[in-house]
Amino acid sequence: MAETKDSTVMILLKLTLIAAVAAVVLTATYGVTQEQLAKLAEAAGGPDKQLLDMGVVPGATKFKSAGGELCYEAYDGGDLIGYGAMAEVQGMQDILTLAVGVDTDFVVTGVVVVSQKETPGIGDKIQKDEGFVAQFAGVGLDGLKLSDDGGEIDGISGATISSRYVTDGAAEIIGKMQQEVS
Amino acid sequence: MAKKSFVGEIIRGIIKDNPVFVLVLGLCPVLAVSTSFANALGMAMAFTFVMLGSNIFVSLLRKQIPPGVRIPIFILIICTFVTMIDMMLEAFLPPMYEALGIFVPLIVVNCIVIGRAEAFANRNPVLPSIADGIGISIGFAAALILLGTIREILGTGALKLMMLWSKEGELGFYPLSDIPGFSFVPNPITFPIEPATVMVTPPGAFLTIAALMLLFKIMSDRKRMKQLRKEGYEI
Amino acid sequence: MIETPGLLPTENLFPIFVDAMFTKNFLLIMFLGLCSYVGLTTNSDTSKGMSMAVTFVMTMSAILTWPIYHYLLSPASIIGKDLTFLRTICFILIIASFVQLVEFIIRRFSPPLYKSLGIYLPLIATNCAVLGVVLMNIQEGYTYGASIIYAFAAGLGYSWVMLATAALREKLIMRNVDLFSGFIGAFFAATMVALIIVSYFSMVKL
Repeated sequence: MAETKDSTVMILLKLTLIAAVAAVVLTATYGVTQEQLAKLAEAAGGPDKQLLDMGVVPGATKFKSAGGELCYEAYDGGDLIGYGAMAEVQGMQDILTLAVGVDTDFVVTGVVVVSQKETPGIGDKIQKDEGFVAQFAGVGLDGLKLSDDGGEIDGISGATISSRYVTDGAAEIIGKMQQEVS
Repeated sequence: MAKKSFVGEIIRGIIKDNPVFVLVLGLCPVLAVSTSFANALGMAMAFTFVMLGSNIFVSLLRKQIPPGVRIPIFILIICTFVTMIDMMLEAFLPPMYEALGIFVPLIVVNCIVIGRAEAFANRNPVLPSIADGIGISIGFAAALILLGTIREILGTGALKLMMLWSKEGELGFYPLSDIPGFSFVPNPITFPIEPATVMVTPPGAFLTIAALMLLFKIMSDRKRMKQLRKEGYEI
Repeated sequence: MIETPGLLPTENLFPIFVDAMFTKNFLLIMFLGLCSYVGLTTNSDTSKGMSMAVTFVMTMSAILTWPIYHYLLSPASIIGKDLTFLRTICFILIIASFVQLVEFIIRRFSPPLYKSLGIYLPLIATNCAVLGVVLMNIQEGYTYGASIIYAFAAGLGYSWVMLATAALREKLIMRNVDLFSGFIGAFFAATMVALIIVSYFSMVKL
């Protein structure tokens, strides 16, 4: 323990000095990490590039914003072959990020669970179980419900609630896409 | 405090002053992020960074820190390191940043770090403080990884050994088998047990720590009985 | 672009409330504030005092930190710079100074209140449940109203677990269950209750 008795001025001075050093160190770290974050963002690209990389609309060679907030038009060369969107929806534990692709009649061509924070070992099967999202392809908006709720998608046993959030979330996104396009 | 060797200080931090099992401090991150081996390792690394940084700087400044405002100064020092590791994780290891979530900023209020600053680093020179930091960090990491490993094996029936590694210029946590020299390690290591999903959920964390503490208590009770019998007591 | 959430709650408040009380209970599910859980549940008077103090400080911290974050630190604030990396340091300073102030005030003006609540206040500045609740508010992007409700409900969630555990530990002391006494018994009890919460709420969709 320090034995020196400091005056109030000295205490203030020391506090300020330490705070100033901390500020300098943090600002330096901030600069370095911001650069790296910008690089990461560039590598990931905008939503159009991410949708293309995930292949939610098979055959698409380019995605272009449809003018709205959510929806991207998918082109194969010069032909419009469908739409894609990436959005956050409510999950059981936290927000889920879903990427959805549809053809021009709004029949699903692909769904990808981009990120999720569901219960490890239970809800996270929505991302790990490839058979689950594979069922979505070819289903129209009407059938986009769990089979328990009268739709065409079979929930993962043991993770029904999370499956329901994905299915309902995908339907919600497609509904919004339809509104934006029309 | 008696003079001890550098190694002695480290060992004391791991066993006699084990922060988790003996002092029962800093349990929050131990229970929350020990869902898998990889998460436990990531948290242990972040913790070690903060623990060492805080111990070194508190010890360096110990003669300059006015006793009356020492706690705010400790918090300021710890907070600087926590913010640094938080930003670096976000930039260089985004998946780990996502997995650890708010438990990285919460290292600030981890009783172990501030406790060591107050009880040790503020009274000892730099070298012993570094040893103390290393020992306490290893003790914390051991508890975290032990819990992570048990929960991952029982909860998923397999264990993925991950390591921080740079592959093709990209820093990240990769399976041990991808690292040169370790390709003999199977990935994942599977165990012939039925996975009990509950182990990776929150109740599983409480169950694991309770069972481990019970085990340690039984062991130390046994040891004490033996000691007493040796000394001639009839029990 | 990032927008500042509004002041009045637009969220559905019922799920937020139930989340904070049960499904994302701070002690049992999120593992925040466990130091006080282990240390202060030895008798029900201390846990009562601590629970009240935590609930109070949590709610007040939410009230204080939300405007600071959204009007000063966030990139969408009046300053217009991204200062979010300073959030941890700002929040901890705000909480610590607030706690200090309240402790001073009640020691000065209400000795009985100080006896029942004040002596727990210094413990709270470094309680991860309090910093946790304000960080969660920011992470979830709650409106001002919702963030206050969330903090209050989280405090209530913390309180019922503290009180229940204290009651259990008091009973355990009187029984001859040497191995399960102390926090080992508390952890086994926590396992059971957490199991109930997790299993029950994985069946219903709020």
